[in-house]
Amino acid sequence: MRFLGYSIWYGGIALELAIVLRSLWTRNYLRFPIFYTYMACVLASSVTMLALDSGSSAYQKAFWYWNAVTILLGYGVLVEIMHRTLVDYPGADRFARFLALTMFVVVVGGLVISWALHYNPVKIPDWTMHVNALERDLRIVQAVFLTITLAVALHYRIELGRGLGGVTLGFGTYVGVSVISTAVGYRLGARFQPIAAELQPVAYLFALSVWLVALWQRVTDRAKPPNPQFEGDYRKIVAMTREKLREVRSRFIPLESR
Amino acid sequence: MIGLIISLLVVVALIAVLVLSARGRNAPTAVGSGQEIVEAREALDRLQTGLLPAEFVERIYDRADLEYVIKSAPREVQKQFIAERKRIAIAWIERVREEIRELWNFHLRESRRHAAMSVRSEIALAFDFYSLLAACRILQLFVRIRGPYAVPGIVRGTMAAAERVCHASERSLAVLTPPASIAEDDSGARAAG
Repeated sequence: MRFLGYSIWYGGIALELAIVLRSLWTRNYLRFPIFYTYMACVLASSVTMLALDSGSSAYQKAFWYWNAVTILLGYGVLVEIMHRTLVDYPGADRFARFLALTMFVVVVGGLVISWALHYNPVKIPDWTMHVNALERDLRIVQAVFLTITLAVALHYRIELGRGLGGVTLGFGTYVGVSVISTAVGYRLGARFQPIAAELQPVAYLFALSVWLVALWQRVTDRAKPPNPQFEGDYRKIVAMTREKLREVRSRFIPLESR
Repeated sequence: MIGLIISLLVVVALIAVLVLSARGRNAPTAVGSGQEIVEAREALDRLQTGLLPAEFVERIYDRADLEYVIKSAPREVQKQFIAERKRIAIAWIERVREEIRELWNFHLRESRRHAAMSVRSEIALAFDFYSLLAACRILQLFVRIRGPYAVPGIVRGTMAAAERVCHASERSLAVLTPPASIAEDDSGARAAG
């Protein structure tokens, strides 16, 4: 198990290094600046942790410090994914913002109700697990926003492209596994620890591999849709769609009189 | 336990959208080129000219033909007639579904580009589209199982959903008079056709 752990660690550093160095050649860091900042930080953290003794207090401090930094930068990556996905589609962007706002209202509403009732169904009472709970909650928020973005992209048939698609797939996989790992880990306790210890690194290794493949080539611009000519076009389209829909529906009308 | 359930639900939803994205379901994205706009307009024109004439629909579900065949034709011919009507009814419903889907795809391609897009309109239209698609699917299933003459109830159910769209259209069209340019385009296209 120890050998597997080290293999994953060294493999991860090699992949991180390859992704960062390759970006200097392809200049993809100009397209995904936050993502590459995230990668550089993760690389720095991996190397730092490797140099420290895993039993020392310095290792513990460094672990939590880097973990906090990478989670925060993960939010930056999320914002970059959302922005890159919907930047050319203001209508879809508006819909995504509406969904995100709805989700925010639901969460805040839930918190207010739980505060009023003095009952928090997702509370983790064991204080030694509070950091895990915080990580779980932060990862859940990431997962929710990523799901909204991808759902809107799917709904509006927005093509992500190879680079953005790869970044999203890798990031989404890692976030999903992190949520499962922390949530199930808390529920099952020590029994799940050996699996959790390998699950997240393996998912991360998978994410790195996807990123390396997706970002190996220079990422080119997606074909942009033309700008709408008139501000009133949308209303025109809605009216036309409704009219056409009514026309299709009207084919049922003769049957009603039966 | 609730925390675990929420976590699992979120992850399942995330995996679903990741898999769908990776499968490239949204690959045939129209990029909004001039050609695409022309094609979309043509699709709308096809819908406008009406691919599904009302008389045809009336004829498919008309019991008078069935009664005539039952009265005057041998049993073999009756069976053949019902089988043929069933096939036509299913084909017609499939055609309606295709038209609705095409209309929906065009709407999505257009609406995603507009900053003035109304979320409320989008949700209402999405509900109407999906309810219509579902109604067509149910109708198709019933025609398959019970034949073309045993579905007036389902059609009425479909019509109830249709009423909402009709009212919405009337309200919308009362406020938004069709732009002259569209009317001109249409008359031009008809004249050319």
